[in-house]
Amino acid sequence: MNKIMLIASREYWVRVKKKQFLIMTMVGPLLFSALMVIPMLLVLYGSDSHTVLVADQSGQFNDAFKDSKKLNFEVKKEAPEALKAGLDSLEDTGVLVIPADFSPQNPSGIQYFGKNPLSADQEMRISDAISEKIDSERLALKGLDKSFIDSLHTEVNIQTFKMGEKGFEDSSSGASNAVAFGSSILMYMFILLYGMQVLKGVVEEKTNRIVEVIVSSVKPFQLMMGKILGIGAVSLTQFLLWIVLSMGIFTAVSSLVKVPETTKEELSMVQSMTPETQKAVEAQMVDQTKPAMMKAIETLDLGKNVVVFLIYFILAYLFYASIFAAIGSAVDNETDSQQLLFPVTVPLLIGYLLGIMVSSDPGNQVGFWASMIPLTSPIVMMARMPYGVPTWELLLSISLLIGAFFGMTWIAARIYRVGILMYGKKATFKEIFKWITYQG
Amino acid sequence: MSLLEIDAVTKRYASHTALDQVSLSVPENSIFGLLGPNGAGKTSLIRIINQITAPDSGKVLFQGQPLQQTHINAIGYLPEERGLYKKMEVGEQVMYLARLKGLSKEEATQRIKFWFEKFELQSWWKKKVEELSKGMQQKVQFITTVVHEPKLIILDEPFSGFDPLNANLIRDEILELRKKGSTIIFSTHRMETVEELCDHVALINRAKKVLDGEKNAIRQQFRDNTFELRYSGTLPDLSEYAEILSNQQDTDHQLALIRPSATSSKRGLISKLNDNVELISFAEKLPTFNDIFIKTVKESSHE
Repeated sequence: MNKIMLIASREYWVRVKKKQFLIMTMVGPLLFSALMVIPMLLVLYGSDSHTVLVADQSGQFNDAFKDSKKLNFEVKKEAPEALKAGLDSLEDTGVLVIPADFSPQNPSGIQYFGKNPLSADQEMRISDAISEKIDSERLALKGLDKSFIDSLHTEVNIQTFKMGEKGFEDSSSGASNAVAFGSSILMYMFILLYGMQVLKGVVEEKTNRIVEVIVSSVKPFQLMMGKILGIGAVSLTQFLLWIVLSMGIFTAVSSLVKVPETTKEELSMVQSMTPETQKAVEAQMVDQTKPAMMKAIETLDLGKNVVVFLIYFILAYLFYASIFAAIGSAVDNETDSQQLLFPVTVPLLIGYLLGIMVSSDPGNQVGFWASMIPLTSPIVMMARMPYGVPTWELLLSISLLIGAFFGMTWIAARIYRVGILMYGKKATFKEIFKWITYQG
Repeated sequence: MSLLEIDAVTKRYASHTALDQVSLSVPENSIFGLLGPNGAGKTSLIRIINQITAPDSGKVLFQGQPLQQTHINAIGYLPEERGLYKKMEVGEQVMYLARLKGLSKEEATQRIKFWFEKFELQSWWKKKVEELSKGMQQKVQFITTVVHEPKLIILDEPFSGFDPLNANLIRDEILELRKKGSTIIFSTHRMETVEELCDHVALINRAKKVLDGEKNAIRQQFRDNTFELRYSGTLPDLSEYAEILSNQQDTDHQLALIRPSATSSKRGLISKLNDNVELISFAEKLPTFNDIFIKTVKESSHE
């Protein structure tokens, strides 16, 4: 045991002291928080706002277009040709031409001339405004009044709840989806990243020939376990540092960007309102400041998700790392390992694909089975977690993974023990299977 | 008393037998030469002694006990294929390997310092292994082999990669270690070092032990009654005393190999020679281990 710890601590410090580790540790959170912060910034500052000049020759659209944050409309009296000609010198994005013979009965001939093509979002806004206008015109023709139509129009917001331990809890399917997707990809990446480190380490010892010296001091199993545990500790260190740093950067950035949002103008607006509306507006403003994703994430039991993630990651890493170690022992250099890596990368990839599928369709039967089978369970279970997984399923899946870990480590150790002393030729699958049954 | 007793050890791999009923006895406090052509089974035997692999049948006794895990710390092994972690600092690396052999941190530090001073490596403590010259890496590797003061030291081609100066240094250390009570198993293809250093010799060929014994006894065993004769002048007819095997000019004198007949006396031979030529030397030509090696391997390969 003591020797395993000695080996593990060498493997750990050698890697943690490396520059790559430092760089990865710094860059990782920057990437992660960029993923969180950038959507927030986009919500807050938006992209540039665009102004569309409307050449309404029919005279029916005076107030039909409503300005929004990203898209402004200016109804112009000038002829479309003049507007188009002047487009170059103006900051406006384009000209929307509504023909003189436009009528609700004949809604055709609308054209857009822009510096750039319209984005899907912009096009939708414009056509929505036009079709709304047409609808109301048609209804008016039937003798229905605009205010009556407005009263018919209702905004529907579905608030979702999921069955939790204390009855139904507030939940957000959007956030669940995002967390499910994110954590299963993270799991996949981590297994692959650190599994490959184990493989590299084993191959390095073998090509260095130092393995012969080491196994004259310790049992091959101790060397293999020490390496796996040491690199595992590196991965956990990196993971925890990432969480801490990401949180730090995220909090720092979000506290910085909140300030400019509440402009003086808005503040004075708020102050001029009655206390009740003031409160409501403030609440709304705070709500708007928080990106929707964060709000949604708050509805999830994030703590539990992180704990389950860690449990699965540790077990999945141990399970896969022993396979990686066995493969590393069977080859002489890293390039030779590609072919033998097949049996590891395929189940991982299947897990990854199933994870993506399950994160948008958590009730799936395939998802259930894939989250039980140890090869794919760590990744797929991560995709199911945010939607809530019954405790018995979790326990069953974890027990199966623990069992698989012991079985796989036993097999891997037997391959490893023979493989590390075989130099010069690349082993075939057939030979590797034979090694499992070798004596001594 | 023998430190290591190998009793009818057999090791088979899928396609071939590496060791076939090999028995050896390595006396305590000796230098034991383990010889054999490439692929004879030496490495397999060394791995069994190191408990890297286990024999299919047969026993290995260390200090009278069957080999067990605790013996590992009493053995030091320098493999033929040298290896160190290239990116690791020298001092740290030796420390790591010493601790794997069961030394405490304090003990290891003390002993590593001693060896580093001896080999003048102190200033290299913080350097990475890849920055060292090959000879220095070999020295470091030698230190890792002996730093835990093992009872049994197994050296596989210890002099390869050393210049003559450093080879001498290592040779002196090996003799010093034996003086201090260590037993050394020495595997090499350099027969002159076998002749110089070994007390006992065993030869393995094609998985079988073909020769084993005290070095001088083996030499005696391979004496073939050949004498070397250096003289100037013309060799007389010696047919009644000896058979002339060869006779040739050797720089400023003649060199002849002769085999005296069993019936005649050497005294008569010498006086006959003295009467006819100017005798420079007359001595028995003992077989070299090179001859013994080649002869034995050839014979056992034809069987």
